[in-house]
Amino acid sequence: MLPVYAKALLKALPLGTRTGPDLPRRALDRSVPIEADAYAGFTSVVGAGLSNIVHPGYLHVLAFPLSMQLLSDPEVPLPMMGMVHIGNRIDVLGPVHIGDSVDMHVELAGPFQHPSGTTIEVNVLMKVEGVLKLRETSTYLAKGKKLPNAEPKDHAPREEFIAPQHTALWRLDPIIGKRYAHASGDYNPIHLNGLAAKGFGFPRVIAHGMYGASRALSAVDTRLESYRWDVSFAKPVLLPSTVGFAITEGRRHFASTFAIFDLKSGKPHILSEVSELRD
Amino acid sequence: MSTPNQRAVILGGNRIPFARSNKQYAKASNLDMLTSALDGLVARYGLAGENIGEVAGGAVLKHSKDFNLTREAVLGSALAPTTPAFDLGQACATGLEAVVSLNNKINAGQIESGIASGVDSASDAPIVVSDSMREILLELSRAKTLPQRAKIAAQIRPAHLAPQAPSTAEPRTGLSMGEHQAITTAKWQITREAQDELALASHRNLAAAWDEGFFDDLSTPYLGVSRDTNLRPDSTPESMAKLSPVFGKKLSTPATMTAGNSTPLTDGASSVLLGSEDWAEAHGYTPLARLVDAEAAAVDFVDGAEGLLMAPAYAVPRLLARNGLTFDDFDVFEIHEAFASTVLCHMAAWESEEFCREKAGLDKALGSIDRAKLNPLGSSLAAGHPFAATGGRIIASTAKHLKLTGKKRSLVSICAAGGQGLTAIVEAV
Repeated sequence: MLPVYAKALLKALPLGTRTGPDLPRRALDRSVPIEADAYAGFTSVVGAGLSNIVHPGYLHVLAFPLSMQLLSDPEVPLPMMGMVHIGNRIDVLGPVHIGDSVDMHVELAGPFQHPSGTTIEVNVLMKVEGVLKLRETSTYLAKGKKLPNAEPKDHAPREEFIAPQHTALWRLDPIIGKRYAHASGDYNPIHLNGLAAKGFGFPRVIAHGMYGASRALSAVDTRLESYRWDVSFAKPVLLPSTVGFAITEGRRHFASTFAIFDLKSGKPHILSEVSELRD
Repeated sequence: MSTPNQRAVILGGNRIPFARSNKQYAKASNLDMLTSALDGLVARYGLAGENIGEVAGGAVLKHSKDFNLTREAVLGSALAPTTPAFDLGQACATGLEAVVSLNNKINAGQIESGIASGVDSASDAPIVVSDSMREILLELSRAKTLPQRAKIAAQIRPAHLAPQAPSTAEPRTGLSMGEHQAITTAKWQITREAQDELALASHRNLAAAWDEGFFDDLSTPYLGVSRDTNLRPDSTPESMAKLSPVFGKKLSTPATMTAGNSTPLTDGASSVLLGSEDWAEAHGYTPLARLVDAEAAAVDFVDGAEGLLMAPAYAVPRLLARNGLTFDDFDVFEIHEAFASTVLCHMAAWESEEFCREKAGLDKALGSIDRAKLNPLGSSLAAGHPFAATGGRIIASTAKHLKLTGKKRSLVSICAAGGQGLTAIVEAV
């Protein structure tokens, strides 16, 4: 993963190769077995129980190297470094188990217009023995970049968030960045190194968005067989910090809406929802 | 099945005076304190060299090396080394669950005698390494070659080395017990004044009981301590009112919970002697009282549906219904004071038509408790609360109190971490 970020950093410098405005029409396919040991490393970091059914946050992690490979392609018309993961949608169509071999298909979609720049989507399909188990769309925003050919896209404005009474407190130390990096293979320096974080405009290192999202899903511990897991990333979590968590609608184990938020300002860090998918 | 004469009775108890953490008992381990509490009981009841049916005990803050804590304490005590023992745990209800468990074994005819015990040290607490460090150390122990070990050891960073002391935070919420209770306190609108008043009564009653010599045959001095060190008989409403709130400061409502109306971290140990009536008679012991029934409850506090410490509010109505009793049938209410507001929230719930109908499944409010009957010997706010030792303190005290005063019936209620609660009825014999 480190070379990917190094390459991306180089591309961010104003001496990179010129690229056209279109996304390369390319997809990547790979089969990955789900190994219990590596998976256990992930669950212990995101506070999930180690059971036979794999946390969808880990399936995101499995597809992540392919996503980065596509996003860092020199022909992608936007710089990967500085791109912000603003949203993630995963449809879990059926459980994936430890020991399953997952066939992944990853491709890019976009570019799309966005009020603050341009977005690219990474679309992932995962099958186990030919049966579709998971559909994922990760949305990345290149802030302030406008491309002439970007397609229009609806962006529902975020509803005003009123911080509820927190039902849990999470004390997040900087080591969380390193632990999640080890568990996920995402060594983006803004999560590991204070200077690198400053370089991208953050006063301190920030937590991986998918760390908070996955931990929140662990707390909700959904028992639905087939569900949609939506995540919207608002303000990044600076490390260290203590954040609040609460389920705002629904309840643990079922369909619910939940949030991670700043205790003082009440501003949201991550807004998320689990809803049941019916055939 | 047991015949009437084989029914279990409470015969007595012994505890070491409780001490605030990191003070007089700072160097005493759970094993040291539990052994001392047992030896004091053995001395008082002439049990040296005796085989007891079974000794039950536990500690909430327990090191994994103490997997057989109670058995080790028996081996270190003057009891016969052939006395079996087992450890159990139900957070702050551990001590009471030990009593209930042995009581039931005696009633089932499995044993004739038992000692229920509990201990906790918040001073000599087990310290663990961070999860990252633990993972690295475990990897290291699994590595087979020197290069593998070197590679794994090289991952250790200074941040991994920070030790983690046990806390009272709930594992699933990260909120301390005090922060959880602060939310419940605000919900039930319990005032600062009401909490301080309850705390003062606890200190006043406990001080009077010590002064009257009530605890003389229920305690054995330890390491120079002959009274509970948290006891502040000279506290006044004014001195209590000066204390700054410590919990609930981040809530939108005024913070009301202070160090004065919350229980401090405490070290201590307790034990209760139980036996069948036949066994008691054969040994020449006078029964004090009988534990006639017990009821546990648990609430779903994780996503905030109910307050962490509210389980006893659900257990008590069920316990009373099963025994065909109302509050009027009780002369004493021993409600463990985790926080003054915990007791006040339980009482408010039982007085609430809405709570009793909608949550507890009753057709009307359970009723009010006469304050004169509440914790007449003081409780945890004054005595302190070495988690697993509190049940034994309450059972031995209330049993003796019933015997001494000729009162008939006592309701015992203890809230516990994990949204649990254990309640029991103790009756005069």
